Amino acid sequence: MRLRLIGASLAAATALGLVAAGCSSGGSSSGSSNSSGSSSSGGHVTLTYWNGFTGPDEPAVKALVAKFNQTHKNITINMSIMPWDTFYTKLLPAFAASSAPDIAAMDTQQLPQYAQKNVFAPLTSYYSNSANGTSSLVSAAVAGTKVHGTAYGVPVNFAPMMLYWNKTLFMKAGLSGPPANWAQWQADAVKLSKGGKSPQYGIALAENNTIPMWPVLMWENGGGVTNADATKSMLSSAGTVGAVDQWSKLVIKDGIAPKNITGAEADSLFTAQKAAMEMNGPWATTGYQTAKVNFGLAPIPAGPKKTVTLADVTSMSVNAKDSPAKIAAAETFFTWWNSKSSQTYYAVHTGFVPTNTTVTAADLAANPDVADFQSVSKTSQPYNLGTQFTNVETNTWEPAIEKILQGASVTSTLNGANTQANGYLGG
Amino acid sequence: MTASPVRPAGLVARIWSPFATRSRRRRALIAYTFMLPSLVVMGVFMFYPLIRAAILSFTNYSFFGVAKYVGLANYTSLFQSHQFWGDLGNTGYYAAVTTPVSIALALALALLLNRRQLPGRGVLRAAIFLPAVVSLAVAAIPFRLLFTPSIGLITYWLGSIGIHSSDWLDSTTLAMPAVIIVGIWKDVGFYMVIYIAGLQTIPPEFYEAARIDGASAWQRFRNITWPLLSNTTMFVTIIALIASFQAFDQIFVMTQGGPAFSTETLVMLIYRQGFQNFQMGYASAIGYVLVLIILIFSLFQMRYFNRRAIRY
Amino acid sequence: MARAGVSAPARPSAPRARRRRILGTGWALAVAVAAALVIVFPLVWMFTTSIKPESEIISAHPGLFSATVTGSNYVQAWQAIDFPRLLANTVIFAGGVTILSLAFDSLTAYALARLDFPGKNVIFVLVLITLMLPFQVNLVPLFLLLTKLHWVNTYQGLILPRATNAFGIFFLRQFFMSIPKELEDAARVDGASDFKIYRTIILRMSVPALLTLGLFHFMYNWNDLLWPLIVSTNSSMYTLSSGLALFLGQHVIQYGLIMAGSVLAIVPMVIAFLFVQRRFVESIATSGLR
Repeated sequence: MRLRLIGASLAAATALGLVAAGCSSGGSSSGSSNSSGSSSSGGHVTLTYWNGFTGPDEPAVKALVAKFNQTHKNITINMSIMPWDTFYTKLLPAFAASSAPDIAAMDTQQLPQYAQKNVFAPLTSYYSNSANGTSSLVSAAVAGTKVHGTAYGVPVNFAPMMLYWNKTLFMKAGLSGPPANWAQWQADAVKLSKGGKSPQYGIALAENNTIPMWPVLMWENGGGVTNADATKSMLSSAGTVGAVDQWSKLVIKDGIAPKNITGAEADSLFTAQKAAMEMNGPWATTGYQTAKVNFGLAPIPAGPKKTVTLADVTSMSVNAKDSPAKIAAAETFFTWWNSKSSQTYYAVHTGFVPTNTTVTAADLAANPDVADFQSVSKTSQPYNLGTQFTNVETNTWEPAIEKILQGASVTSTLNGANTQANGYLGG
Repeated sequence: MTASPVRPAGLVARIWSPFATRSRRRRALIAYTFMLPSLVVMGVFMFYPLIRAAILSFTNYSFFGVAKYVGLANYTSLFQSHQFWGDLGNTGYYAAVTTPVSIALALALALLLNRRQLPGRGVLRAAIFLPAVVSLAVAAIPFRLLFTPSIGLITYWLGSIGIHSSDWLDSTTLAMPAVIIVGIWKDVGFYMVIYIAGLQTIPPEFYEAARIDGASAWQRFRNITWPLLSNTTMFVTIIALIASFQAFDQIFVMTQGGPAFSTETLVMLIYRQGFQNFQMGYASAIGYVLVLIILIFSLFQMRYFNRRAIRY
Repeated sequence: MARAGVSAPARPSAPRARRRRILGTGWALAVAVAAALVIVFPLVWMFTTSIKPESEIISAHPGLFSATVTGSNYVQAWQAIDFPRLLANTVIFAGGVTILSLAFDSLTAYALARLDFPGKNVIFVLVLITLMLPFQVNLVPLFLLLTKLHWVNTYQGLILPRATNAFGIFFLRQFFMSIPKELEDAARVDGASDFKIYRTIILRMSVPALLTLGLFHFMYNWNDLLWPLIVSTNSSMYTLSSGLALFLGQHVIQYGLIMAGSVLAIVPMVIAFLFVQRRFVESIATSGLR
């Protein structure tokens, strides 16, 4: 009997092999992502769009794209959502095979590496055409899409960071409100930290797998990872060394933060009320509310040199190989996406700050936290390491901070990192 | 496939005589007919990409534009890079611990769970095999959270009995042991099941005979189980070696190679150079150095086990 | 230890032996249960997390269970993805790969284990080398090839590159090598062809190995997240685990939801394992050959 089973499975296998080899397509034919394909017939344009808006962002993005497809009879956006890791792994071979999507979204930190390979169409004329309404876009968000002065993308979403502070823990420590400047911030962090059996941290300061937190501290002290156009390292500048020195000492000696944690761990610590402060974006409010954390939102405390926060920007770009008709259709989508009504919907449903400055606080009444974040937009700046992003970040400054938190000398470690970073940036 | 008619026994014996060249050609034909489907699939989807990747390792291929032949430049710059040697050391460390420990544990568990008298052994086997079913991307979430100091369940329990643990994953000395533990956790049940399947092929009569002769448990293991498992052990050791030299998933999710590159393996380096720095030619060169290393180890293992294997 | 040297059979009296065996079994059981508990603990946490309300998952006083039990994560996971469609894709993909691969692997393994022919060692080593090259290196040439064939977003593009597998060939070769030659010789004298020997002797005696390998193939492809996402850009082609990967947000981790989705994906595999496991036992019980 077992014999017959195997015989049958063999026959089935052969049959299946024949069927698989014979039939041309198992999926729907509209799934073709070939950008040079003939999907723009008779005035109708189909655009493929890849992004990584997974998790809680997914429903709002899907709803908006569906709405766009409904209201634009001549354009169909065919969207593929995948996790960002997969997205980046897949995008490169897709470009090599000329099967890359028409529109690709990505973090603006990643954009320069792709833009310098000329895979995305420059959008200079799009931005200069006043009919597209680009003048009402948040300037920090647009700044993130520029590579050597040329814009290669249009913002999809925009999120400035704020300081989340736990009201309950502050009250227990005898503190009445959030810190306004570095002196208060550091003193509060020390006051809110408790060692011992069940430690509590003043702040959750993540350094890997996270939105940039350490660079914000460097900026506020007049330093940074690189200069504004990412041509020179600033890792050994007085501002950077000073910021890293102050904060790493507080971490090592006073235990104000756990060492070398990821963004997810920082979030967990704040959720569990084991960390009293965290720099984070607007996406975190829902989770903390669900966990019944009594928290407040404050601007990042003023630094010794300036007051600045990070602008986390995701942008979308159009394939350089696309036909003019497709590029025009993509630009229609860009304009629609950043319109007041789309951005209001997106902000209310995801918590992101509208990319469009004409959206008012009153429009955002359904999600009042968004207005708080919107208020710090003006002091935000994108984190841009240019075309050497990966080398400078994961190869250079992150390991340098990790070494410093393990006890290495601040000045010599940062000097070494500075030489290394300049090697990448100059070469 | 080979529709051979029934032949008289004498003729069969002659055809199968090892000296007949005609039969040798015939046997080769039969063998290759058997392997044809696999060889076609492998040729197209494995060997061809393999050769393409080998060619890429001699170019400056970066996904975009035309790749230029650069000779041995990728290999020479690789051998001069500290990163490569550091990551090779990490990979060796990972493999040197993970391979023997997971095999020894798997064999011990297989022997334990192959006892016929053991109640509930099906459920126990399933429980130990379970990690193999879970994707590491998901499994890494509990591992990170359970071990986070002050909110992790395990660190919390340890703390309540007076053991205060720092975060393993954030220490340059303890992060590697942590990802090794997760690697072993993931694969031990998998190797155990292979060992159990191997144990099933040992005829029970052998043990009966040994028991009648009064052999102790250790002697039965030493003289029956271990030699008769040598085919399985060869398989498991080579597979485990390949898997541990290619460790990536849990490291990617749990530490991203950090802190300070203390857990970065060669495959992590390949990913970083290829997919984050766009240096696919260079990444392919690393891949081929890795292949060479694994191949040398595997050939040694094969020779070792082939000398000991019991053949019928 | 030195009992084997004693010439007279040193069998202890029957009740003592039985008592010892029971005691041994008790120890074995204790050790096995302890090992199983340690190994399964993170997965138990996954399950209990999936039935916790999100607000109680992360807390300063973590516990395995919470006072309130909720099924809302499962409801949400079920609604967030087209579960039946993804399940069907997964079964087609994992099932197709498993059937094809079992057939092709066993044919090749038979040749490598039981036949003698020129080039045998070369082919065996070549097969092994395909396992040694990291997927990250092979991915790019393979993707370019699939694009050239226009096989992206098709079932054949998903399945055929995996229709044979070095792991499977190697696995079965090792098992086929342990099957006694006498059975085969007797059949040869009767004039049986190689295909007949393969079919009636080798496959028949390797049912546990084939089931095990089938389970591995099925499990591996069931779990594989990257490959289906690479080969398909169309969400209607996604498999269960690649669909579930979409629950992992960029900035936010919804622990309960992800764990509920994972539990849903694991359950069918556990059932498959227990099924194969039962066949293990049966095949020993019914096989008079051993």
